[in-house]
Amino acid sequence: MNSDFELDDARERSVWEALDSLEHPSPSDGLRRQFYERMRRREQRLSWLQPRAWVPALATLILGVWIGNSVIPPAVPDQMTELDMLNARVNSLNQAVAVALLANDSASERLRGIRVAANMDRQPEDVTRVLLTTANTDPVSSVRSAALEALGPKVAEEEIGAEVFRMLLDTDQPLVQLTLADLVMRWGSDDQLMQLIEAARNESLSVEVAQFVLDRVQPAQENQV
Amino acid sequence: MDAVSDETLMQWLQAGDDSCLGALFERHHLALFQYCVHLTRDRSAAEDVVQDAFFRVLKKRKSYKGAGSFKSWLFNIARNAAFDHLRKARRFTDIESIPETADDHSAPDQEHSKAEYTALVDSILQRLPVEVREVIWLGKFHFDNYDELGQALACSPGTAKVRLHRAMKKLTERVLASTQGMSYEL
Repeated sequence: MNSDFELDDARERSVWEALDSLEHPSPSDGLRRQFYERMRRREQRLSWLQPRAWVPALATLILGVWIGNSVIPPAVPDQMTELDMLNARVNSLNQAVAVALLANDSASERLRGIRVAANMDRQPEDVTRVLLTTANTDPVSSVRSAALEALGPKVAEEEIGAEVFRMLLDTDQPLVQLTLADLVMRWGSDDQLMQLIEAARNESLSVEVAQFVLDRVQPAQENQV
Repeated sequence: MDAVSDETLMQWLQAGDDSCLGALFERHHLALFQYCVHLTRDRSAAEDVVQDAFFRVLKKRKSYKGAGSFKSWLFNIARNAAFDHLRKARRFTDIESIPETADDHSAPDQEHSKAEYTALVDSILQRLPVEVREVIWLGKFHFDNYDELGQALACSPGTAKVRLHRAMKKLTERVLASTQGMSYEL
């Protein structure tokens, strides 16, 4: 370093070299915490000014659950074992908790909702859809990323994969595009991976994301050969 | 090497993706903190200044034209934030108020270790005015050419060169004055 700088003589150089050993202090943990807290407050303020894309999805889900409970007759007990019924109730409860938390104004509550959804044995389609909406529209980037992570293995499913691809090509936020591309590379099927490489080659992705995809994929392909 | 450059993250931030600020914070907050500690001589104030600097980046994002490196632009913003803090705290040290020589060191002809020599250089550096300290710190640890150093200091490369030259001369003179007759195992 400092190759461009000229020093007058040996004495200056010796002082310059002594500077190498100066202490480089580290900040407290509070700096990072306060920075993200301030970011969160700012995003929260801004999010109130933006239309909430998840509201229609939530309304549809609540309407669906209400219709399900009031119109469709309950399952006949002898068609279901007691354990199945219990599992179904737990799953239904988790579903309600996850969806309610995902609709919360607080980003940390939404993150809790994502954790509940990610831990469900069988993720119902409605929860997956709310996760997709969260991944697509949540104002807080860490919540968007967590929702994408929670979708994880589901990306290999045709319908979810197609939705992820739609988001990948539609988003105008390259950082989100980068996360989505990474998700497809980790969890996507072979077909989806080929689709991603194609998108990277035909300039459907931002230049940096395309480069990131090709850099990651090419060494892997070379190793396979 | 990072998959995405600072300048690209800055372009995305300009396009409205605020989450890029987090990525920039992760990359630069430590270096900025160390620079700000050096300017303010106060860790708590330095943390406030670093936070302030990143939110100034958000506020001033449209004014970033990508002419120089993002890093030098960011350091310049932190510098302004630190100087605003110093002005408020009335901690500017006038150059004339600095003692010309340090007078609390050991007797002549005494042999000293490298660690002691470093401690001496550090102690003398800390007594120099902020304008002198900052150019040495930035030149030593953060920028390796006069173009970027000048951008960080909001001056031309030529001025940055002169400032670094004078600062090093001043530091060296004071170190020599304090060590006359002493020898160090370097």
